[in-house]
Amino acid sequence: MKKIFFLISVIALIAACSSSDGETTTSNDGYDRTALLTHWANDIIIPSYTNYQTKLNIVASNTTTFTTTPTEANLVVLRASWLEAYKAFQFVSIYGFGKAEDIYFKEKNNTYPTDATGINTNIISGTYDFNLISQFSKQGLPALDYVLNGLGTSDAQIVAFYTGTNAAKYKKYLTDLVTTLNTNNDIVLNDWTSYKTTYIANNGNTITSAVSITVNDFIKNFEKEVRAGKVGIPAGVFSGGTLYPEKVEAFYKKDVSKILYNTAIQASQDFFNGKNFNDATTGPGLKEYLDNLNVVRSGQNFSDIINNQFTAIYASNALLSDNFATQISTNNSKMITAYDVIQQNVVYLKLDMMQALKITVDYVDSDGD
Amino acid sequence: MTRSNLLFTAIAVAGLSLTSCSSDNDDNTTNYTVPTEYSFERNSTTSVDYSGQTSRLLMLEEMGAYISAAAKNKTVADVTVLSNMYSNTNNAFSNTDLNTSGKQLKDKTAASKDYFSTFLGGGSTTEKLAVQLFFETQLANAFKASALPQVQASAGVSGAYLDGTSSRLFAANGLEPQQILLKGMMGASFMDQVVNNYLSTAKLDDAMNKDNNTNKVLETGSNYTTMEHNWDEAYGYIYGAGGSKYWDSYINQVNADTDFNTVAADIKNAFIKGRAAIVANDYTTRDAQINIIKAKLAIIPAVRAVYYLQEGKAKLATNNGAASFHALSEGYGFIMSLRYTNKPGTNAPYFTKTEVDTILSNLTKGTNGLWDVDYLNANLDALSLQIATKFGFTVAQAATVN
Repeated sequence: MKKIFFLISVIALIAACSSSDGETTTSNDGYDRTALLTHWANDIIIPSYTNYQTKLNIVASNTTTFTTTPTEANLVVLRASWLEAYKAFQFVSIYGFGKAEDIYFKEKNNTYPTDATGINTNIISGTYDFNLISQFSKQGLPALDYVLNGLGTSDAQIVAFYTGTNAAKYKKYLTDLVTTLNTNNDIVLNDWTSYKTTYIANNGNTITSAVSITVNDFIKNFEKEVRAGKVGIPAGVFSGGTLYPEKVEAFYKKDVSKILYNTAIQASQDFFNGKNFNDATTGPGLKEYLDNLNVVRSGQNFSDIINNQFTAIYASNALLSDNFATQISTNNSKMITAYDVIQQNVVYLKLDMMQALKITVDYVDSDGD
Repeated sequence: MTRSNLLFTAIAVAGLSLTSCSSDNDDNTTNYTVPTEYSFERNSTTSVDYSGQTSRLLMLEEMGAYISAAAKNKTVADVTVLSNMYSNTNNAFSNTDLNTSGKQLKDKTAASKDYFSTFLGGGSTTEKLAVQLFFETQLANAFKASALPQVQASAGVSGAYLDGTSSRLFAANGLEPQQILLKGMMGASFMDQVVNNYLSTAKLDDAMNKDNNTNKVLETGSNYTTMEHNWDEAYGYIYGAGGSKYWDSYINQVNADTDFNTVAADIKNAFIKGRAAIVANDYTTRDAQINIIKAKLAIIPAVRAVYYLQEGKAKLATNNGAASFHALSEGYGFIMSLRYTNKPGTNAPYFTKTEVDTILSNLTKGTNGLWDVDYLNANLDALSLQIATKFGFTVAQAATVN
């Protein structure tokens, strides 16, 4: 539907101005967008999904071991692999377009707070369709958090659910959660094989070009998922100071919210710098793009200002507890300070960088009335 | 969700370029009429809407009236009720339309895009939450001062005080929570929303707003473009409660003084001209009106702050100084408002937050705050002068309405 509209508008535009200027496809800022998109696709995006797939495969394998032999030791191993997968997800969360958008990939992977009551109902009924929007909060990594960390207060208590009266049902739900995560990621990753060509070819500078869509999604993820989801919402920034410690990411595991947050910051900074996913090499990226256009502020490369702000973010995070729920409940002002530091980089990226790159922000803040 | 809007826009843009390629460039930016009133129509129906702003003005009014009534009738100004009103929860307003309006004051307190999202003008989330807490504290102070049986306010003791024929509630330091709330919110909410949010070009031109306005893409189910509506919302925070309330009232009070007797027309006309310019896609004129409004509106709290400091000074000798507290509290709130002004071309206030905090702290630095009349007598002139000088008028000009 959307694509048809898009096609119509592009055709209309080309038809309207075919004889005069071809401003829809050419960019005259001199930066090689084809190389940029090629690097993003080949060296960052696809390797990120591949890595997530690898990590999810390990979770799947450990799930089989655990459901076959539900011991505390096997639970610990499975849980560790879940955390690795959760970290890997932070790197693909940036790219909410294409097939990922079509299948609600991000929503299915990481909607939190997860619906513990709904999950319990699902487990007992054994009937659910994870494709339904109403089921987004009952699946994914947060649902795994609940069934691996939240069913009891000790590992023995948790394992008991997988050995007790309803063991078969708990095992089935756990397995279904893991299988669904794998399936969804496979769908997106496989699609990239063919989508890549279209993606790279869409190298213009219009609002529907691949660069615009990717950068917008990068910033949107940074603003909404990383800044608001992981820090702002639980710390009460959007609720007039009412705190929601139970809305932190990985609430049931408790001591990993900072790890996941830092990982998401790292993923964002790496993307900004055009760093290969698999090694330290950097290539075309937003940093290079800004430098190429000689974007300078107060005698300093603007890309350096952004990287310095990333450094400041890590510094403010270092003052926080590993467990954000605890941090919020004991001393929320440090969370607010950390929020302000990341918000400053939202401003740099969303306003200053976008303006410098002449990319239009394609989403609006829903703060009007 | 938003991307589909963009695609819709893309079609509109494409449609436009279809026509623009076949016709000559026509400049329609100069040829439009500016009406004499803030009245704009599209297809014979008004395109002006600021109902959300009207609601918030009325909310603040009811909060103020509730505290006044507690002083007058010797009842409790319940902090739970006030807090519910502030965030519009639990149907706290007697005006039931407000309860169901979906609007609230708290989330528009220190909440502008430029200062508290983009962090221009020295703003931050830390400050925003501190400001909201400050107002909650005023509500708690009103509660405390109205506790039954109501005691007479005195140095270091919060309570009620009969000021002429009006009974007022004072905190232990002599500040009147009701006035701090009303005048302070005029700054932290209404002023901030006008000059740092809705008249922010970052807000007006956000995302596709400019293209949509140029092509007259209306908001779904509405008779206005987003940019037109943003402008109306700024207007509504000044004039949106049937006139003569809050900034509208104080603009007129300042205007009544011959030293400032064009300010009311200047602000009103700039709003009208800017709105007409938006309809006509004349963004240069729009931006010029923004600068006029920002500069002229900032004068109002400055003049009123000096006026009330001087009025307070004149009453220091009456009733151990308590007769001056109402005026000084009004002044305190207007000084607070100065932090939310926006000096054209700077995206920063005329006085920084630190400067404003210092003035406020100096105002209440005497023993037991305002109860130290000797301290005030020695310092009010200097504080008045500091404010007047910044805005280029004299203390005498502001102190006397003539």
